[in-house]
Amino acid sequence: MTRKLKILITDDSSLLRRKLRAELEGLDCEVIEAKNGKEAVMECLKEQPDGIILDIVMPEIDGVEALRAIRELRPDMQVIMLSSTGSAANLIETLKLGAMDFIQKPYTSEQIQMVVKRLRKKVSLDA
Amino acid sequence: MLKQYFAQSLLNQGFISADEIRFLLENMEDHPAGIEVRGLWSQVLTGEQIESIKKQQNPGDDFGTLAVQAGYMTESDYRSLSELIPTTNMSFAQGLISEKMVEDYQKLEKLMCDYKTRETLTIGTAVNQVAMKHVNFEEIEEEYALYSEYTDVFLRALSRFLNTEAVINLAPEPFSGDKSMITISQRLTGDVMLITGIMAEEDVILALARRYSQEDIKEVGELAVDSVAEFLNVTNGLYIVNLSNRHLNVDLDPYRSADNVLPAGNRQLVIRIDTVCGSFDLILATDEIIF
Repeated sequence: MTRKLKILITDDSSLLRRKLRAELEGLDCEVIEAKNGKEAVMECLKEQPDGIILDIVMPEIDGVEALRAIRELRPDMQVIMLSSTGSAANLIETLKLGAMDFIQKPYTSEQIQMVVKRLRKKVSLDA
Repeated sequence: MLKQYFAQSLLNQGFISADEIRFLLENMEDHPAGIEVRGLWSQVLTGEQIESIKKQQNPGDDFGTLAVQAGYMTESDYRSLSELIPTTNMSFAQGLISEKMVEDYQKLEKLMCDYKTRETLTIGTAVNQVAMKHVNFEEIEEEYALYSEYTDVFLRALSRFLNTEAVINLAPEPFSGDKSMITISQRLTGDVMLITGIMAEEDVILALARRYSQEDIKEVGELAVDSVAEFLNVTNGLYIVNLSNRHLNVDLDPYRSADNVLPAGNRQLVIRIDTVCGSFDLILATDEIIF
């Protein structure tokens, strides 16, 4: 029996967290939430998720800074950037920092399904 | 050149008033675009053909079938028009007919043709008119192109994400002041400095939030404000991609919101926009508008 994939959603928008939670729970994932980059780093250490979906534009610590901190603490962590700011500079910077994927908002259900599939493969939850 | 929407074009020509547009927008969902309007807009049918079928159509007769029998379109055309997802322009055209603001399909056809061939009507024209009326144009002369371009992206986003026709109101009345006003803003920083904001009465914020989120939001709380802010955020993200394609690097700040403030940014331009959700102000400036 496989365990559920645990995913940390980080977005300052309650709407995004709500929508993403519904999507991910529909894909049989366990979901935890953080509202900003600072919370994301803390939750990452505390909850040990399999992957993180991380917004870029957030108060306190933004997504790029959070990604940098997470990579230092957990170099193996799978991080997917989900942001409205899909500029080339952001894309290059976050991919250089080791993000697994970059999705520009608005996302589609298919994109989230693909992310979950790739995460499952990466963390070898599928038989 | 950035083309205006059909409704905006009719307003600018003086064919229709801002009040009539607001009425049509608010009731647009009561008038889904029929085969007649779809056929006319797609240039499958002419106004004259539609009128001739209408004359012989009895209650219960299917217009499309009669048009096929008359040889005005093929079965395949009929199928395509039936499956077509109507654009907001088509829905607005249907409203004009249903509310008898246009007397017949031949007149509607002429309006559509004028709209499609008129090259000078642009979003920029409307923004220019707003600017000339409401601010010292010289103050925003440098920003004018930026504001016009952003407004075009914003109106397209309203159509794409909220499925609403949106019209720049060239003669807006002040808000009543009876209801609480909410302002949501987001700053673009980098090679371009721009503050974008939406200011609306609570019920309009709620309507925008419901439509964007597709959630049954009951009150103006965190979820409603977040929903409108997310719409603004996604719109600004699309705008940034446009800028990025021109090698301009721009970032976004987290959104800000406030109740009952009077936005006061430098080089500020306020554009009233009428939509299915109601009217609100799009506020553009070069520095912070919420204090």
